[in-house]
Formats: sequence, structure tokens, C-alpha cells
Amino acid sequence: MSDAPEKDVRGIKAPRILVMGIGSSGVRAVASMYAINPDLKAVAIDTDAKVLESVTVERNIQVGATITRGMSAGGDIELGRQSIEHDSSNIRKQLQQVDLLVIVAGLGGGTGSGAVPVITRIAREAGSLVLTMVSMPFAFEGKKISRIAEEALKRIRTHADAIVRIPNERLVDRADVELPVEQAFARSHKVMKDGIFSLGRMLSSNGVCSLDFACIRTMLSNCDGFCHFAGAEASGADRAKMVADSLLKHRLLNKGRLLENAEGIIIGLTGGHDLKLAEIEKVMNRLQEKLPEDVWLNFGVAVDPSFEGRLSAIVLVAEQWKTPLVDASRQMGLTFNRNNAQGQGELPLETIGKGEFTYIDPTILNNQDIDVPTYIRRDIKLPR
Amino acid sequence: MANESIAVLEIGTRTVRVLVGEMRDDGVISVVGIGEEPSRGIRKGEIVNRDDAIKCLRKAIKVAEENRRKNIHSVMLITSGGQAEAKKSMGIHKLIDPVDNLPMEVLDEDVAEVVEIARKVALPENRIKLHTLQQYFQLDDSMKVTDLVGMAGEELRVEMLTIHGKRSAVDNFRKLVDDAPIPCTDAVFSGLCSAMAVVGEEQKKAGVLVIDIGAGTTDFALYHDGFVQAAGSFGVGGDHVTNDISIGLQVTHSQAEHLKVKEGSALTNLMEREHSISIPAVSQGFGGKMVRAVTLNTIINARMDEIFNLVKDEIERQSSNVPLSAGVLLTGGGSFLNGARDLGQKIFNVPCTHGKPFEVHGLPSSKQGPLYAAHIGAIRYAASLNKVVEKPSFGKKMIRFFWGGAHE
Repeated sequence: MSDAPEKDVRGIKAPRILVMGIGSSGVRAVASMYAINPDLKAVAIDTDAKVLESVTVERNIQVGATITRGMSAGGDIELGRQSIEHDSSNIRKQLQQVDLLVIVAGLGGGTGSGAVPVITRIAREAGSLVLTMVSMPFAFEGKKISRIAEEALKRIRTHADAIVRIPNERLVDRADVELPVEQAFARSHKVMKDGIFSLGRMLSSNGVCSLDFACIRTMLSNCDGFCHFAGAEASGADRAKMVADSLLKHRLLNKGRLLENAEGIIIGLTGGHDLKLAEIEKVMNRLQEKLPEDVWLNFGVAVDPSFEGRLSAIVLVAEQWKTPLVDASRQMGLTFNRNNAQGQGELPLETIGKGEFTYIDPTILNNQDIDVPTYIRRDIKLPR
Repeated sequence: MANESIAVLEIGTRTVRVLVGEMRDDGVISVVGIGEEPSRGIRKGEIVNRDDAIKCLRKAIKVAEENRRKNIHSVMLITSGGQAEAKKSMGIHKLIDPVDNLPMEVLDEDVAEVVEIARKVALPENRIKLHTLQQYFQLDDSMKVTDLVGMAGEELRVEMLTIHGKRSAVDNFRKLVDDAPIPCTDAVFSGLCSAMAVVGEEQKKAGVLVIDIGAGTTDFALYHDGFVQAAGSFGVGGDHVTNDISIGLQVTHSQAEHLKVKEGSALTNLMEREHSISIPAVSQGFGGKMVRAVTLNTIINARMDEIFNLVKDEIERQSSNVPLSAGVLLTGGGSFLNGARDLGQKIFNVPCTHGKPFEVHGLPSSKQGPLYAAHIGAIRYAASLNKVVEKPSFGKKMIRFFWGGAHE
């Protein structure tokens, strides 16, 4: 955030999360989140002035006003890319001192597919952790659109820590003949919303056994690009069983099959004050029956009074588990040291990764040792 | 002999290259001898092992001499000057007649005087002047006057661009050449030379950026309005790309080099979906490896993107808002990297192509033109100075005379 780091009474800094909605679909998703929770730090970014006008979000940025003249990118990725490059300084300003950036977008259009790869790169350079939640187009939107989305995904992958793909296609099934179109498109928004709110709850202080930022960071930096996400909610006496069952059959988890070969998983549970230990146990046990034994598992429980009588669960699943090529300890330093501006700067004396340039005069430009590979300095995660 | 032959030498991080050429009367340079030798003992354009470096140098000169069947008496040294920088300076000369206090006509002497004043740029001890390039004259309020003898005014100003390099780097190279032993007549900045070879008058006016991506250094020169507006050099080049690959993929330097040349691309979206490259097992202890093209290209892309952006930021700093109407020209070995031109186009947002020397005969193939740009440019530069480089006795005298650079 651009404002001063939030501190609680004891001066402890909480990790800051920023949600960024890009493109018309992303903006609408963010707006619907903001409508529910106005405390959400959210930014809406689009080329289309009309879309931005129609929504209420804390901050909105119109990009590429000179390039698209306030209209949408019209499905042209190149226009989307140019627009965001043009206003990149503004974006950079938004990203100051953000620990976790959640990008929300719909791929397949011009602004979403063109701008997201650029923003992930900027965010990475600014040192934030990037979680990208993108909805993939319906099959009926045509091969061309889905190819654009796939292409964009590949480019996002170079810089984003984790990408959650939400295929619109999987969110509807044959039983939904009567489903109004608005709701069909809003379903992916709801998935994103559930995910972001639950993550927010887990990370904030009201968790009983909350996940900390480091867990999320480990998960995101090790998941080799893609994550899967699913959420479920139930109420009543049998809610624990119902939640577990619906997760195990969840469409976004390929009817639970993804759980069987998961290599990493984060489980987040939210309930009211009436949440019982037995219920947590039940959900966890049911899930662990399916999960492989050596899975990297982390779970958190948050208590929220508004969840009285209900139980909600989210899972974030990684299919692959690989140590990233970028040194994680360095990245950690980048994310957190950045915030204490008063502290004395440390002279980076390490020579890791200089290869054949290790023993000769370093070339220092803009306070950076140019001999260290660019991808290490920019914290670009190499796809393996 | 009607046309003096000129020998130029570049001690690059990858190759030591000697070129002997003659400037013909019609302005065409004909290359009569080429000597190349893979260099050793040079890193990032600076000497790290003098013995190795001098051996390569001798070999290259010998090859060129054999190639030409004639001895080389003296050479002109092309250097990137250990991260050369450019500095603008201004000379002011008052023209007011002391007697009747009226504006005077500009005479040839006044022009010479103001140029001389502007030339005197104070540089730190450790910097050495490579070139002083005269830019615009300014007479009172009329800016950008190019020829003003005969005009009247009160105050005459001239802008100069001084390209200066690291004294130790340049001196070391000169000493190396002198110890070869071959007299070294002058040291010229490679970025400027490359530009002189590949850029025509028209392009100089329209605005053009020439980037010479070598193995150890990246040099650039920016022209607009017919003058050099910015120039400089960074100690980063193709070797850094190779080094990044060898660190990122954990392969040896030579494997990384091979990967870069054969499979690498500076663009990540050119890649195929899940295309993998196999690195065969060559030596003992290395069992071969599969590498994804995405990974390789991501590493290259990050570095090349940085190199271009360094240049972009630097020209923006030295001389902002210069239109690049004639585009960006790439020379040097690094320009042959796949996708380098496309990436350049993306970053500078103007057409980006290979810079090929024109009005030249006798190069091995036109495709390799960008490799020889700096040498051709240096020959042209030497010829334009109209001085005899080949005769050793005269050349010796020239050293002191031209030391500190002469204008273009």
C-alpha cells in the first residue's frame, strides 16, 4: 500500500495484502468483493472508462487513456500490454510495501490477457509475492479466445509465484440448464472471492490457529506455477461431514482426484464461536484419507462471529512441489527488510551466483551488482 | 602509394580482431587483411591475464599479416574504454569589440578559440579523454547554428560532447599493444566507431541509436540532428548471458554458450509450449540433462531486457526525448542472439535491425557485417583524420599529438 505500514498497538506489522482487479472481468470481481467487505485493500485497473465508472472500489486506475481513448482494448492483447506499460509508474506506486499481491482477472480479453503479465513482472520487481487468480474462458467463446488465454497464462507464469486457474467451464454442468448468464459468469468471481476472503481471514489476527504469511509464501514459491483452489461451505449439525464431502467431490479439484496426487496443500477453516475441535478433526481426517502421506500440509482455523452456525473451508492444492531456483532466503529479506526504512542498509557482500565473474571487479550500476544474473536480482522464478 | 592502408585492432572479451583496410578515393573501404584469434585473459573488456592476452594479440596480428602478406607497422586501438561515459560541456567566447562596444562578425579564429575553450574539460585523474565531439554552435539567441563564420553577434557558444574512459583500462591496452610490440597510434571508442560504420548522414539527422553488444561490454551511441547526442558503455554483454545460463541451469560455461547460440532466444513468447532441449553427456561426471526452452529463454530474456533498459535509461538521462526515427541498429556478436532484435523493438518501440557496414569491400560475408562494424568505422575514422597510420616514425609523433583525442 502506498500509506504507511499498518502497525498494531505493539508496533508489529501485519502482512499487507492488496487485491488488484484487471480488465472488465477482474474489475467486476473486485467490485463485488469490495461491496461485501469495504476494508479490503483493492485496486481496479482497466482500459475501459465505462467499466470503471460503473463500479465502486477503493481506488481505480484507468490505464492507457491515450492508447485506447477510454475504450476497452477490444480483445487486442498488444493494446492491453501497451496501455499498462504506458502507466506502469502508477502501478508501481500502488505496489509499494505490499507483501502479497492478489491479481484477479479474466483471461481471453485484451486488457486482462495483455496487462496481467506486465503487472506480475512489475510486482515481482517491487518484491511482492504474487498470487494470480484467473478465470479461463468458456469453451463456447471459441478456440481463438482460449488460445489467447493460454498464451497469456504462459507469460504470466514467468513472473507470478502462483497461478490459480478457474476454468469457467468447470463451474457449470449439465444440471445448470436454468442458470442465468449473470450468475454463470459470477461463479468464478465467487470462487475468487471465497479464496481471497478466507486467505485474508487466515492471515489476519483473528485466527485461532492461523496460518502465517510464511506458510503461504512457502506454498506459493514451491508450487511450480500452478495451484488449484476450492472452497466449500455448510451449516447445520452435520456441517463438518458435508464440507469435507463437497471438497472431496469438488469440480475445481477434478472431483477430488487432484487431492490424491497433491504434493502440497493449505487448508483453511472458518467457523463461528460454536466451532468444535471434533469438527476440525473430522474435516482434516476426511481430507487426509485422500491425501498422500508425505504431502506438505498446513492448516489454519479462523473464528469469525458472522460464521455462527456455519463452517467454511478452502483448500489450496499444489500438484508439483519444487524448490524454486531463486534463493528463497533472499526473497524473504527483500519482502520484509524493505519495510523498515529507518534501518541501516546492508551492503550486499554475497557472491552467490556470480559464476565466472566471482573474482573480478564487480560492475555496480544503480546500486546493483550487474554480474549477478538478472533473474536472481529481479527474483524471477524460473519455470523448471 | 595512393591509398594508405590502416590497421585497426580490437581486443575483445571473446575475440581479438585485426582488420587492415584502405580507404579508396570513392569513399569505399576495401578490407585487405583480417586476423582473428579467440581471446584469453580478458574479462568484461579488461585485462585479467596479461600473458595470455599478449599471446592472442600477437597471433591475431600475425594472422592478419599473413593474410595480407605485408607487415603491419602500427595499429589504431578500438576500446570500449572500461565503461566509457559521455559528458557535455559548453564553451563561451565573447565577441564584443572592446573599443566601440558593438557586436562583431565571427571570424575563423573565434570559432577555433571557442572550440578550444570547450575542449578543455576537466576530468578526474582516473578518466581519460577518448573523443571530443563538436556539437552545435550558438550565437546569442539563435540556437543550433552549424556554420557561422561571417555572422555577427555578441556571444558565441559551442556545445561539446566528451567521451571519456577509464584511464587504467585504456592505458593497459595501449601498453599491451606497445609491448606486442607494435606502435599504437590512437585509441578510439568502439561505440562511436560502430555507429560511424553503419549509420548514414540521413539516419544521423533523423535520430538513430547504435548498440554494440560485445561479449564483455555493451557500447552505444545516439545520433540526432547529425550529431552524437549520447554515448557510453556498460560492462555487461553476451558473456553475462552465458554466465546466467550456466548458473541458472547448472551447466558448464561452454555448454551454456552452446545453448545460448543454438537454442536460446531473447523472447519468451517465441517458445514452444513444452519444448525441451537435451544437453548431451560430454565429459565424465556429467550425465546429460534435459532443459526446458522456457527456462532458458526466461534467463536470456531477463538479461537482455536489462541490457536494453540500461541503455534506454542512460540515453534518457544524457539526452532525453530524442526521437529514434531511424530506429535502433544492433552490432557486435551479441546482436546475433535469436530474438535480440525483436526484444529491442519491443523495448525501444521503434524498428530494430542489424547494423551492417556499408560501402565496404572484402568482408567475409555480409551476414557477418555487424561483427566488423566497429573496425570498419575505425578505419573510416582514421581515414577521416587524414593521417598516416602506417609509417612508424610519423606514427610515433602522432601519438603525442593526437593523444587526448581529436574531433570527428
